[in-house]
Amino acid sequence: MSRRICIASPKGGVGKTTTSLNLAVALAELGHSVLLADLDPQGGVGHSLAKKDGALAGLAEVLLQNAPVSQAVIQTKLPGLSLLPRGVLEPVDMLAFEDALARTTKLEAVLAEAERNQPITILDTPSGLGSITRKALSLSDWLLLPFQTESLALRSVTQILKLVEHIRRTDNPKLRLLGILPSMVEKQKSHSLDILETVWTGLPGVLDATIPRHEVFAEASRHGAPLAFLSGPPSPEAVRFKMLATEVVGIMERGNEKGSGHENQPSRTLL
Amino acid sequence: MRISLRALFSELEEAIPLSQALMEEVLPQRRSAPVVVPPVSTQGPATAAFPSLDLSSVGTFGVRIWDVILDWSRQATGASTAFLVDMDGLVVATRGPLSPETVEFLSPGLLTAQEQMLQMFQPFGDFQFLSVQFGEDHLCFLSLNLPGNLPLALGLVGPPTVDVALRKNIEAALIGALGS
Repeated sequence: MSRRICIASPKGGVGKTTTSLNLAVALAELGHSVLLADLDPQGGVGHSLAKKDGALAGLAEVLLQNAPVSQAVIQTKLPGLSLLPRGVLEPVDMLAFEDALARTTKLEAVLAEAERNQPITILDTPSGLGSITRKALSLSDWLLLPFQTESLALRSVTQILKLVEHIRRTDNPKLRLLGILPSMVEKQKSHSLDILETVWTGLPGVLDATIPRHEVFAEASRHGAPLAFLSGPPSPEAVRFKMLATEVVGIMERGNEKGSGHENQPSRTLL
Repeated sequence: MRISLRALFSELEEAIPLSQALMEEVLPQRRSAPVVVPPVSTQGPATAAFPSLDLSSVGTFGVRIWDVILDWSRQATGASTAFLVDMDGLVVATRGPLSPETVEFLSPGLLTAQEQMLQMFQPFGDFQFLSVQFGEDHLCFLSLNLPGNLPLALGLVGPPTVDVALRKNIEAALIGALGS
């Protein structure tokens, strides 16, 4: 299975970090080994896990202080899920961090070492199509594009697909679109449903899984936990991420079959 | 306010071929569109007392078609709340006073219970539906075999009025209205 999934969107607040974290958890709970790397200088993954800014050492120490990668990778309590957080980052070091991420070859080396035993890596990126997102796309096999179901967001889909097409031509021919994930869907609002209908019927690559706008995400954030880790009955939203995980694994497997030349497997006999 | 789908599509003119090209290896086996409901005619079910299901005002396609179907189901059965659930236990649509959160919570469990009932009662004949006391009401949960390979389950909360004949009438009306 191809390994790196870049979660990116030109638009902010569409649920990139929420998707990254909960998809990583869902994949791990399905038995996959996953590394979740936080490339966002804002450190969204750490915030989602209720860690104070810089409470977790991570990429910043590796990139700016030459700390060993092994010290930056955290094995979580969920078997199979490791984190590579942003790390401790003073505001004055932000530019140096972005430069180290986007304009050197360090990130590639760090990821290669961090993901040694992880067949799947999820890269959470900052909003926009800036240098970090471009770098992440140039190192990824797949793009998962969270898409807020509102009309302005339709333009952002075109923008990022153009960028992906450019990166495929210039830097990374193996980059493919894993899917467009409708997020913040509000089934009670006709506007949201209109957009959903439009992309489902008109745009190839829109996933079956959708992520609704729901207060449970804020609750999870307050508790500093992924949805699946909240106490009480399992949230339907956590179930949605399991569906998303199953769907993306299926697409990656199909993509690998097509790319590996195994699609024309000869007939065999067992006995 | 309903926004213009034509305007929305124009936003996607450039995105469509790009997305197609970027997914060419994985796309052919994937769904490109949800089930399309064809233009429908008003086909009432068997009995005169049973209300007819008219989908003509909804258009040929749309998520809101389910709201019309659910309102019709409430009218036909006397249920206060009606909801549709897919085979993963996720709610397709819900209408009535029962909160969407409650419906979301109940649905996976109802599907699991129905699965167990199906297995338990297989030797004794066709299992028709699940009915449980639910507060002051009854909750009926029945699988529907709808056109277009669309397995959905219908939940009805209200007086205990659903019986086998009514269940068959509901399914027949939906099949008639949605097309075969």
